[in-house]
Amino acid sequence: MEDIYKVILEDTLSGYWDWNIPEGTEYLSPTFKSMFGYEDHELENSPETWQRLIFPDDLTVVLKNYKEHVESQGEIPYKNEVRYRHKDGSTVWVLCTGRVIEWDGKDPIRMVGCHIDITKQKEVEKKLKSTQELLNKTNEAALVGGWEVDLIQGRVAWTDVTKTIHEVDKNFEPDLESGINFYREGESREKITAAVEKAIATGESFDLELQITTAKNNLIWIRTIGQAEFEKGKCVRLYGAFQDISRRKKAEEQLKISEVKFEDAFNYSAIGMALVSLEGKWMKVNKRLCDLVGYTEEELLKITFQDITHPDDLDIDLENIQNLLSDKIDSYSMEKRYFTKSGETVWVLLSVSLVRNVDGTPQHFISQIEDVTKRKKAEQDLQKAHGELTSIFSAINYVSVIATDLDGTIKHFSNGSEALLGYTKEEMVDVHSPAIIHLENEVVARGKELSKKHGEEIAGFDVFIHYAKQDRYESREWTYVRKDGTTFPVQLVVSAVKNNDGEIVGYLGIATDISEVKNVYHALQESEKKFRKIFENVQDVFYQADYDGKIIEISPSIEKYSGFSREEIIGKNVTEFYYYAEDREKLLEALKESGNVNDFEVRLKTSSDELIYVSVNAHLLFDEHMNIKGVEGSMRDITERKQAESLLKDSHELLSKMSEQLPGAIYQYQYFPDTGKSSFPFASIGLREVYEVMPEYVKDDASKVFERIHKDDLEDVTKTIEHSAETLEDWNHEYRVSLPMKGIRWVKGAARPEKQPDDSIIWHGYIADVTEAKEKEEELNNTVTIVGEQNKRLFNFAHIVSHNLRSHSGNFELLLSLIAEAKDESEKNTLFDHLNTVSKQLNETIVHLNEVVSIQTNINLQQKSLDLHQYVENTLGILAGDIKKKNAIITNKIPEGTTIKYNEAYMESILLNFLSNALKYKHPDRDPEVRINYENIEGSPIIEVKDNGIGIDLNKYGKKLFGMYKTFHGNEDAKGIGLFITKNQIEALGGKIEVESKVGEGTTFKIYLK
Amino acid sequence: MNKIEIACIIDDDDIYVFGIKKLIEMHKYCENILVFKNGEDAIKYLTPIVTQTNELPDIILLDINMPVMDGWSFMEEFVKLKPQINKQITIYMVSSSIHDEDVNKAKLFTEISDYIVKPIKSADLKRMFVKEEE
Repeated sequence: MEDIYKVILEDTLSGYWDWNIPEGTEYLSPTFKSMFGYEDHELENSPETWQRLIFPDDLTVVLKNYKEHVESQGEIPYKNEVRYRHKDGSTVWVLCTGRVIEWDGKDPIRMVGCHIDITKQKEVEKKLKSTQELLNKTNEAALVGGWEVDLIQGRVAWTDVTKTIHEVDKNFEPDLESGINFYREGESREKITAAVEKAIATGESFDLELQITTAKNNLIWIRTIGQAEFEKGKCVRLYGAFQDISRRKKAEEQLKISEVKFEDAFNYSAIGMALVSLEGKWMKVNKRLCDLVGYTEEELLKITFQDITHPDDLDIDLENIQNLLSDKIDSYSMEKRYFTKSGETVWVLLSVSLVRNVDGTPQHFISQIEDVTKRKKAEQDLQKAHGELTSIFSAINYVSVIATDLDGTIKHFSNGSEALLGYTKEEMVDVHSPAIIHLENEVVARGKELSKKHGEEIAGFDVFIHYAKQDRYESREWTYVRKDGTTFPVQLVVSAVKNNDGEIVGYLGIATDISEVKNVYHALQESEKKFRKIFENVQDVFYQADYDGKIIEISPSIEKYSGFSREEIIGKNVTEFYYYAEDREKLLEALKESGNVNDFEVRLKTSSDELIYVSVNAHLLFDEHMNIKGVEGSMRDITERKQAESLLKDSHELLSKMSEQLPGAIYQYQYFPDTGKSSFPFASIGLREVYEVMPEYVKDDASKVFERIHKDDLEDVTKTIEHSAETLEDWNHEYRVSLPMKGIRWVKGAARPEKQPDDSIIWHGYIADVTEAKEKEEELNNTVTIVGEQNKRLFNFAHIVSHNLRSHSGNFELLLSLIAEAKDESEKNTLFDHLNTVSKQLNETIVHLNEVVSIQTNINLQQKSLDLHQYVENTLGILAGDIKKKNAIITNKIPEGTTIKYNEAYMESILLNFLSNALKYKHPDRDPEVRINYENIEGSPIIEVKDNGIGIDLNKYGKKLFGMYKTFHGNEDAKGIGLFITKNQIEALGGKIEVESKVGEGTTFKIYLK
Repeated sequence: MNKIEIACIIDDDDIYVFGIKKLIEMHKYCENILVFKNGEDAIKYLTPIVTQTNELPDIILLDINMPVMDGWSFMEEFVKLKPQINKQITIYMVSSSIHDEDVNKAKLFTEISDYIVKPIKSADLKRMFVKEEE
């Protein structure tokens, strides 16, 4: 059996080994050996053989594994991937597996195993691993990711960077489908699908720039490069690189945009622009240039710039171009002439620069072409006019016209020159330069000035022609020296003389004698001097400053204001004297706007750094060219005025703030007695509260306030005002106002009048709403009355308690003490009888008190309509017996059907009391006559009971008449309670009693029911 | 003449008058007692006899609250009579009123010796009558 296996084993691709451990021999199959490039006979069958061929590192691994296998009694498998050295020196990877198959107890006896060549697999793995590592390392830095598709195992792998670009998690495991699905639907996805399919089918690699939508939904541009790996004509693997190129794409897009922008700038530029080839061919031209030269774009692109350039300008242009190409200059500008399509000449200002390649090779020219025809024409016109002027001026005496050649030699000396300077043409022409007629120091000074300004040495004749050389005019004052040495001022204009081609051939100096002007100026100065004398004595300070603010002149009176003397100020800059620099800026602004300012306030500084307010009147000064030369004006110290103003303002502010806080209003009221007109020139906002009128509405006419005064009080108010106006006494008045919102209110005003020069009167006063105070006052009055009444009643009640009740209790005590000491029964009985009487009296008193208390506590007594006539009749019925006995005549004069609202019980009690009193106190000498009258005054019913009885001495008893237990006649049945109760009842219902009486004649009670 | 011969009671309260008379009799302070129901009655009695010293009372117990003429009005009238009287008449105000107003008012009359609040106790009577004996 073993042999059969052996045959089988030996025919397989695997190597086979069989190890006899105790003997130390090992069989190695021929395949085993051939795997390492040896014939069967070339290698000995022993363990040493493979131990020699195996890599030393791997031998350690193998032995360790063997040991584990043996010690675990075969539990731990023996399996290793190890390296052997091939006969040709190459490395052979072997998968070595084995097992102990015979044991002697724990000792291994025989072990067998096999070798499988896995070199190729290992190489692929290693290659992959190393490429991956390399890729990962390099690409992470460049943000280039890698990817791999194993088509055999259907496995897809992305590097971290690739994952980052996809914005997926590091743990994301892609597959082919999900990978494809990241590509943007449409073109991108179609392209990648096609590319992948083609790569698999044909092995064609791809390199695409496509868009993917990342896991975070960002649309980005990526570049993916794919490579196919083929084995035996079949694609087994795709791999490649993956890169985020959004930024590049964006840059590209921006470039595109900027190109468009450039294009736009080029096409729509206001000046002509062109790209010109090195040969001079128009490569690209804009519309402006086409318009300028009158060609269409197509036409222009067919020709060169040389074709349309004026021949006189071409050489210079070409020379410049040569300089550009030879790198002598970066760019150049020149004025030149083009011929338009229609043959006209146009002057242009040409600016050219050269565009070079990265390597420095010249590419093409960029030209900017500006139309200066108009300017040129103007220049030429001017020159022409100048020439004409020359001839005109030469004829005029006070104008000197001197022409020189380029070096300054006088070539022309006009008649005027002769007249002005005293030299003859012959003396001057071809002999002298203009220096002879100038003051040397003036020329030197001017030369220095120009040198400084332009940074180059300018001297001698150049001083005069520096600007003329540049085609500019120069006009300035000079002093000319006559032949006799005398001098005079001139205004000299120097210009260049050009030939027809525009070349300077000489210079022309035209000088005008300005002595006259100067004289006038001096005269002016003289008059100014005089004038200054005048203004020195004036409060106002005159001053003059130049354009930069330097003070040229100021009147000495400034010292009074500022403490600085005139000398200290002149030459200094005005800014030094401003307290606030902004004031000067404002002043200048105002000046520039209108040329002058009036009463303009500025704040200046004194020598002691104090602030002064100054009012300025000033205007700008101009030179002959209408340029601003400086400022001239006057100023006046208004500090005191300002301080007063500011004080006034402060106090006004304080006052108005205070007045706003006042509960009432403070005001100024003006009244014209002759016309009766009045107004409130000032009233604080409080007026709104007091009168519900805004102060501004009564500023000119007070009538709105008077409309608010209550109609019943208006007359009084007017009278008191008139009184105050006449007597000039203080006005104090309290009156009602009728307000639209708050209704009727009480106000109280107090004001002090002052007679004005115009006979009007002005009051300064204060008025406030006193309604609440009024109400409180009234309330207080009522309270006082009520309290007074209640006090009276309390006093009465206290009196009753202290007197009447005590008198009874006193009697009890007295009697009881007597009983205690009584000697016999009869005496005791008498005392008990007395006790009984006292008890009865006490009871009666208590009933009376009860009545009184009930009247005083009954606040809401029920009232109903009563027939008064009928009630009197009823009462008379009750008293009928008494009336008959006393033979009395009672007349009920109350009209039948008179009804009043009253409390029934009270009415009965009142009538009974008065009528019975009338009978009780009858005159002893005559029969009683009683009349009951009735009248109603303004809704108040009054009952009058008039008798002809004994009367009451009101002087003696008036006060006590209605008191409790007051009796005046010594009548046995007088109890002194009736009138007291009656009065209380009447008053409880809001009425009162009046009494008239004459002793011996009779009494009249008037009962005011309400 | 230290013994009180004639006492005068001016009061409208019958019970009080009865009681006080009884007490005076019991203690034998005085044998002649004049009683008037109000001030007017008393004045009417005294006026004709002001000069008859023997007829005049030695002591007057005067109530305040009385009909027709109260104690105060009596005093006003008595003051008018006094210049004609040649006798020491001691007047006591005897009233149920404990009102300060009344007490203070009594002090305004130098003729009034004291203000006694009803009910009169035996001790009060003794003070009024026995004191006179000394």
